[in-house]
Amino acid sequence: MKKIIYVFIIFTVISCTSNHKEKSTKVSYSKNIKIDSIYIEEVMLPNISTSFSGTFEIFDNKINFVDQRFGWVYEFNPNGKLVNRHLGQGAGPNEINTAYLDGYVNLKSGNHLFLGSTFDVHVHSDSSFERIKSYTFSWEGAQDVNKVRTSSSPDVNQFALYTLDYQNLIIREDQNGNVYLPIYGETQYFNGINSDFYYDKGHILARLNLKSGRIDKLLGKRSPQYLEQKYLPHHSFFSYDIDENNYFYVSHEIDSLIFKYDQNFDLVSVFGSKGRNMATDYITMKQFDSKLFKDLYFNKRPQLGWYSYLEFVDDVGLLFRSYTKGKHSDYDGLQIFEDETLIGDVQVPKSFRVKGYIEPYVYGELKTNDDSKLNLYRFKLENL
Amino acid sequence: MKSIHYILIFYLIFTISCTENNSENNQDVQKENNLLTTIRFDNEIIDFGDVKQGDTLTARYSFKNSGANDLIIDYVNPECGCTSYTISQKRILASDSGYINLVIDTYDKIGNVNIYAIVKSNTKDKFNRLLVKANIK
Repeated sequence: MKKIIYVFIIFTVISCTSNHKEKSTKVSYSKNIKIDSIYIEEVMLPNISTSFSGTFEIFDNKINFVDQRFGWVYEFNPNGKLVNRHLGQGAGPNEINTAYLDGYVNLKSGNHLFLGSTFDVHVHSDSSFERIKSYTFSWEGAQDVNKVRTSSSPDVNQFALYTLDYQNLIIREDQNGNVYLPIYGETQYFNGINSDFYYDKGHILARLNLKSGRIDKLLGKRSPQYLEQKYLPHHSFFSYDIDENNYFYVSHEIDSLIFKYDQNFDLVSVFGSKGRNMATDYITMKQFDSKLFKDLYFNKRPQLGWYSYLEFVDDVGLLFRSYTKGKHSDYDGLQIFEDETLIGDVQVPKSFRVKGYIEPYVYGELKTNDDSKLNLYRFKLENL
Repeated sequence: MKSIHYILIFYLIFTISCTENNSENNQDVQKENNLLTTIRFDNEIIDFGDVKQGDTLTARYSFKNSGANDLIIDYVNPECGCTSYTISQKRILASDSGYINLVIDTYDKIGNVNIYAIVKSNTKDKFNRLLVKANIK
């Protein structure tokens, strides 16, 4: 009996301590503005054969444009001169064997990881781009898929509750060689339209173990702001990055705060500052209505402001967060944080996001629906 | 002394074999280049403007084999399950023309949409992108 009481006391203490840990995390709104404005210049690129859909990635002093539709990887020097073209769709050893590239990450090893639309992973080597391996990663959990998906009391740690968030497939790698993929849920009792539980407890990232080719852990959660505005499934994207010390930074679309976690996803700190001149009169959804959702997502959403993209640039130790202001503004905003303190909130072209650093420039791209031009920009950090 | 002979013979064989390989590779590249042609689409983007949800859209993309060799369309890959396609023919003789029709069911679409199909052919750049735009109301 005594033993049971001891165990109970210890359990209570541990559980209170761990709750306390999260609840007592201080929020910092610290500001020390050092950068009032930046001069952004366009990097002129040569004419290339491209689908114009894709993303720029900066790695090891190279600028790569990954063409999602053609499968090309165009390599440019820091001044935009074309250095080489790699891959392209196809089954050969130096081609990418998938129809559409949903995601890409330049791994720390220098190798390239591409993700296709059917959980297919393609790893190609550093500079020769030769195929190292291709496989379909395993998403298999411990329980029966149908049972998990139809449960009225879902267990948030069951893999089958989630699916990959292809609309927001920001892939990152930590220092231990794990790759992270954004996820969301859309089952009857676990979705963004009618479930408090989804916003309160649901995970947002899946960890892919590259050695085993399996998803081995689900991590993170959504901002508490989502429970205050029931519901905003059409504004539930988030962005994140991982710094060289394996700290995760997570920013949710509707929340001005940035959540910093350690590698076990224990909350370390919360900081942030509201973007300037953002239209944030979000329209909530009370029940499932497909037509309303589409209207809010496709028509209303582009008119509003939200926090859109995070990039931690280890070379300069700065965290960049892009935000949209809304239809009323001709510009968007970019916040710059140093040690969790806001040191700049500057005007940038619409849909600008920072992608990396090659001394002395910070490089970024415009993420637009422009189907006729690649948009690469850069700026210097003058006042640091 | 004998071993030096062996080394020299081995080196000679290795060099010849490499040269042959290189020359074979060069021939392959040459052969591949000889089979390439060029394709010229009249228009790769078709914009339907405002359309009613549920309408079926048919976009015709005419093209010409503007090179010297036969044009072979390897595949047409529409990205959306809402899109089907027809092609006039898969092999087009030099200077001849053809077309690809994309047929789009807008039943499940709303707002400004971009719908893509990728065409692969025996051209230097291999791929062309066909794009249908519409504002579905």
